[in-house]
Amino acid sequence: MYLQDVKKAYKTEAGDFYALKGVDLKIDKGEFVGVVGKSGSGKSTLINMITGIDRPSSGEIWVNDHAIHGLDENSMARWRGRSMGVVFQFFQLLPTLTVAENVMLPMDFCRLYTPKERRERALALLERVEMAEQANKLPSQISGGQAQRVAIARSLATDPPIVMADEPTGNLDSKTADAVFHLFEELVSQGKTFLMVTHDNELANRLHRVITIADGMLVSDTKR
Amino acid sequence: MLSPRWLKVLRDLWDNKSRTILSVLSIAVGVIAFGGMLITRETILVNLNQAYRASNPSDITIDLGAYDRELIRWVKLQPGVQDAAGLTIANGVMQQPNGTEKDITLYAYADYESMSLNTLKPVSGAYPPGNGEIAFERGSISTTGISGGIGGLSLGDTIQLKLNSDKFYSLRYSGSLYDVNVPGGPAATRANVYVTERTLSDLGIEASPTRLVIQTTPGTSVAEKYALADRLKDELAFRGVTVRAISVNELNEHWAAGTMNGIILILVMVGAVAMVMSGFLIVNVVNGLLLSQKKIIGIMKIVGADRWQIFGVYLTMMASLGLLALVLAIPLSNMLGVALARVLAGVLNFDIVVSGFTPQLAALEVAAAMLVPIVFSASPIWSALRMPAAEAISEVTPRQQTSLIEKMLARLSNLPRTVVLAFRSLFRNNLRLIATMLTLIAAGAIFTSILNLQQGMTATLTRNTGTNNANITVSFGAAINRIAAVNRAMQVPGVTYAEGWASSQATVMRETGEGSTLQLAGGESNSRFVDPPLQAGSRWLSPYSAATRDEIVLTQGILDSEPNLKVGGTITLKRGDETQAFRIVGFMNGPGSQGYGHYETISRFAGTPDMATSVRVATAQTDAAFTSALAEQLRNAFEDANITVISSQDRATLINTVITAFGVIITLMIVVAVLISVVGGLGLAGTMSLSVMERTREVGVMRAVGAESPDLRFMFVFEGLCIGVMSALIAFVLSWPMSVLLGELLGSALRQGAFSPSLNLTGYGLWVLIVSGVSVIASLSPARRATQISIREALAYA
Repeated sequence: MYLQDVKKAYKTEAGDFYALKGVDLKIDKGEFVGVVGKSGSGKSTLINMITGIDRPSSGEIWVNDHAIHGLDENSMARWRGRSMGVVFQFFQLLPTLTVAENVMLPMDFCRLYTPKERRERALALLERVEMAEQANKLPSQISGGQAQRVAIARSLATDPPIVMADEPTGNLDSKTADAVFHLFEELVSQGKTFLMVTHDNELANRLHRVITIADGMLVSDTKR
Repeated sequence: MLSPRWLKVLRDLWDNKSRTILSVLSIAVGVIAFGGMLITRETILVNLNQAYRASNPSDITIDLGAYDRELIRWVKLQPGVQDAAGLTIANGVMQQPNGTEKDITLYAYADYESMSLNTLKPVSGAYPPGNGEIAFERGSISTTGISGGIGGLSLGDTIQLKLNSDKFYSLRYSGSLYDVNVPGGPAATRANVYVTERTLSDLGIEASPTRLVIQTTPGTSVAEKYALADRLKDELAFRGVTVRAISVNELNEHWAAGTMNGIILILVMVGAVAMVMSGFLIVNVVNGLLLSQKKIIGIMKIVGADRWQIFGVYLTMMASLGLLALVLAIPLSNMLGVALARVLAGVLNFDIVVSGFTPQLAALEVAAAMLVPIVFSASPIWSALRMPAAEAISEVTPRQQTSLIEKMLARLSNLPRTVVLAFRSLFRNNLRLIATMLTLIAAGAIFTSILNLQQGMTATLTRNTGTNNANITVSFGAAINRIAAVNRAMQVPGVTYAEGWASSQATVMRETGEGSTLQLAGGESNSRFVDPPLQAGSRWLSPYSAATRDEIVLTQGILDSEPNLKVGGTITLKRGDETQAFRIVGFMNGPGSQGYGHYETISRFAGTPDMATSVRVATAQTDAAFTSALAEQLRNAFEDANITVISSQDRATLINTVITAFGVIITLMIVVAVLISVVGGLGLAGTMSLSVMERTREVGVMRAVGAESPDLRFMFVFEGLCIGVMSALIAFVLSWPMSVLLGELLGSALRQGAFSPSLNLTGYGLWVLIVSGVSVIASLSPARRATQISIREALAYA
């Protein structure tokens, strides 16, 4: 993953506001990277740039030799569906679909596996996050920690090499957060590249590499 | 098993039932209006044709002087003739149970039992009428109280009637029958009655046939029909029979088919408009849906759905709503269509036996129900999908620019805050505001235009009957001395002025031979009773002189059969052995083939110089009660002098009868306007629900600072009312041009020349009331929902 002079400006009535002011970054395969910084520093914007959820105003983003900044919206969606799993602070599960169906949804949109295989795979992934028993429940019927596990299972649905997580433990109690973090560590040990935005200093200390962002700029990059 | 995205479609439909119901109703209303009108059309055509064909109709009618029955046998043997029959027709007057007299057309058949052409169907009482008995065409008697038909008759009653003399005869009312081939129905001015030939001779009329009806062999072309008619005419003349008039039913259709097609075309157009309007409701619904699913769309994009896939998900949802709408639309459109067809059939005297709902119409409704939501939602869905995923899932609403209206409202510090908030919300989404108002505007414009046209109907009819503005016209059985006729009319108290007119029937001569038949009328060029609606490039007759004596003005209807005629050209007319060329100086609006020339010329052409076939009079008062009584007195005055009166018709009554018939069309269109306003109300309800949804947080804040339920309710109802009243104001601006346009459409459909509208202020007032009512009702439920929002829920809402 390679970012070169990535800038992001938002138009406001008072003029352009720069959320990112030229970020250069390189992340290698299999790394478990944390992004830390104060609220409004540009952490989530950075994640959004890499996942292609938002576009940079200027600069280049390369992931696995794909120029993300040059993809049109549809190509971006298709590429993201197969290459990148995303986990959010607020889980972002579809409320009208069951837990299993939420996990099947990326496979459906990315046209991966047969319908039967999709269900089997979804159940296997839920098993892995210890949520198989809740497979037929709606998101409203499970707890926050359980919802985040489902969101993680969903992020792995298409077996992407990269997983991005935006404050995945921000809405969880410390015990659940710890369990979720263990899950991430396990995924990294299986060869996934992991980028996680976090506020939690304790968690950040357990990461291989921590990038600090302030006022839209990368101010430190610590490897352990 | 369905894949997750289609499961999402189904669950979204199921989970938000009120939105689903609103959408289904919106689509259904449009499909019901459009499909209903198409079913009306099909139902009428099917039943009209069925009744018409069942009577084994003739397609050539020849009116003759009395002829020998042997002639019919001879006509039947002619090549091209499938069948022929004869009947006698006489005009007369009968005494109605209410004491007034009614003009009648009397049909006498030699044998009712073995009729093969233009067959009659028994309806009530005995059939056929025996000697000394009279049967009424069912459309001529009123059983329902519809104006125009003769009311108060019971089987067995004695009917007083007179034909050529002033002597009244008594006949027993034996029953009623159905004659699909005679123009009639409640709107007709003459009643159609049936007797035997024997009865007719007892009434003093020679019982030899005066009309020959012919059915050509199947597959005869229009040109061949005319050729056959021409040939028969020559042969008949050769045999010494006077041919008075020939008419050919070119398209083999019922006498009302043309008019019906015109009315139905307008109804179908209005139905199509209603369907388009319902499309605008869909826009509202889909915008609400997309707003509530903003985040979900973002998530779908993030997990790998491209824009086309999500587009497919929402379009499928809209199409499913269309399918659901069909559950309502198919039965209700059929009910509406058949009910409307029955109303129209009642006016024109035919029955609705079968519904015209065909598999093709069902397929069309299915297509409409699926396509309308897809077409109208495609653009809002596609543009909503343009939002970047990051913005879609963002918890922060992007700051919007302050609009000019918001800045202006901020200065109005004297207004209550709830009013200011309602106004601000009103202009929050201008596109949605326009979409909501369009339907209400259309309904308001149609409603007020129709009432304008109704108000102008009297003026229109006055103008359309401009070739005879006389308050009363008395027509005689034979031409009488003109001066004597005028003097006699003037002696009747209440008559202020009278003119004697000449008339004649003539045949148009074409280069290839004889053409269609024309009714000629001749009066003074400066007649007080003529103020015709002349077409562009036309003028009325100049004062009579040697140079202008051959001038003629024709009704535009003649162009249907004689398309080559034009202003400045000539028309050669033949009566008996005489032919005469006339110079065409103008065309006037009006149906049929009629010509107006100078009295001197026409009376001479008719072979009755200085004589008159009718007297047109002006009366001291012009109300129907006065003129209809005076018409009776005039009839009596002439009959006292042994002059046969065919009819004595006052214009006010005639116009009232026609207005009643037009009233049906007007009523139908008001129903359509009200239907559209229901569509508008549904749209408004959708918009107000959206407004409540968007302002959930605002409601929470207001609650938190102490707003009570009545304040909140007022705020939303006021917003709805503003939309309604604004739509009414715009509708009023559009109303006049629309009145003119509708007038032209209706006029051309009914071949009457454009109807002139006249400003109907009551209609505008009524619409303000209706639209206010609709707006308040539409806003009440969303407003109530707003009052049920709790502060906690409102502030948690993102």
